[in-house]
Amino acid sequence: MKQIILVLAIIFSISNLFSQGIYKSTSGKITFFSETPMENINAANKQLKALLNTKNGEVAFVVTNVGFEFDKPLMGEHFNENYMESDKYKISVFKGKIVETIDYTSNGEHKVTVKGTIDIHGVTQEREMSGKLIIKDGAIAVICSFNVLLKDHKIKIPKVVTENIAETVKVSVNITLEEKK
Amino acid sequence: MKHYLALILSILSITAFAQDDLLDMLNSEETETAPERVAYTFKATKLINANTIETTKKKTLDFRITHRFGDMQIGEPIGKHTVWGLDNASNIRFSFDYGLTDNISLGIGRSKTNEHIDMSLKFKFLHQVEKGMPISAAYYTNAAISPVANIPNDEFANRWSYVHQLIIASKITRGISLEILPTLVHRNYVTNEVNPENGSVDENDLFALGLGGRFKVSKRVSFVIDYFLPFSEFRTSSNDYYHSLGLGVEIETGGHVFHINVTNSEGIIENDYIPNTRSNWGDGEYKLGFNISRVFSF
Repeated sequence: MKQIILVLAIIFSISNLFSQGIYKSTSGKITFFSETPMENINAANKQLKALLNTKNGEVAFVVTNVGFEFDKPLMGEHFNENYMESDKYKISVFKGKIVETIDYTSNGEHKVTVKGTIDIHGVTQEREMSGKLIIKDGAIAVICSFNVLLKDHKIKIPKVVTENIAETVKVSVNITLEEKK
Repeated sequence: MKHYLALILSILSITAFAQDDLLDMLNSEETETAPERVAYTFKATKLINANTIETTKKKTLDFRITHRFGDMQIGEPIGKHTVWGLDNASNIRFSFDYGLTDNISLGIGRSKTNEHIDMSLKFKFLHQVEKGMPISAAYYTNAAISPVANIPNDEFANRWSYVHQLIIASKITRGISLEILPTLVHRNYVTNEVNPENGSVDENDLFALGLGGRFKVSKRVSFVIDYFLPFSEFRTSSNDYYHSLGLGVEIETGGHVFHINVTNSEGIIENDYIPNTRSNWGDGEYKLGFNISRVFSF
């Protein structure tokens, strides 16, 4: 009996050991911004999930495309119907690894580079981006912004609206992660 | 033996937790998200004549110009003298619709025929969801007054007509949306005219069933169709009444939705085209028309 309890204890301690170090998003948003002389388009999305493995620096972000909220409903309709085709490509995904080795246990601010692949509109691209990690009292804030060239992801802008939609949109990520229990 | 079992169990537990792919982890922990609503069943709030399930969104104003030229009369001598109806304007309607919420909109419009001024309300109360509720539904109602000069039996109440309509729609695939519209038109005043064929008289309460569809050809271009079947003994072709049928092409250009269509009805609102369609497709009495919708956000 004692032996069984001992073994069970070992199992639990081992499984605990392995679940440690994974941080999960608790709040945050992804925004994008398209700027042309004619019109600025802003959208924010809170329907996202993110994980960070502090053991090896791996990160994964998943955002639901229909979750982008625009100033004007018509912008959202065009985004979902004509450009993102959200019913076909439901999510956008980033998967990568933080290049630097970071001490996640102590408070601090770190400039980081992340390398990985981004999947938007069904097209996957290799990307390298720079961002910032702010570690404070066990919570990790991820702040990053990067540009997405629409052409890279086969999002076509018809000639009649090229004055309203930029060829490159700026994406900003601001997410807080806490250790997963 | 027990030791081995425990050891195997512990190894199993390790492998279970050692999934190194974070994406798999994200996917495996399925969060309880609300079922996804099927959006954009139709592009605009109207097909050709029929209402669609779509409402004008919150704090937006939809300005529409609906125009019907004269009968095309292709093949008849008069056709080319009116440039197939372009010289005539059977009907013109201007309207404004405003979204109180994303599901409730109010509208006002004015038509040339009967000088109808109509006030309407549309309320979308059921949403189609993916892998769930297969349909969307909305209620539409309006009240229209006809301020024309010299009507028989001229009383204020006799100038009013009303519509109650249920709109049931389904986006079957990305490219195909269909709807059915059980409709009641109530007119406060109708003439005592008798259908010589069966002796029936015109009805104050007129039931009709509408059918409509959108078939996408490309991302921005669709083929649209709508049809209304009135349940009326008085409305027979021998008495010169026909069913309203419209065919059209819908084109979206940025902020506008543009329709080019051909329809045999002169009326643009239900109060008019359900009881008063007296043109026959078979006699070349179909009219070229267009609808333009421009949406403004506040």
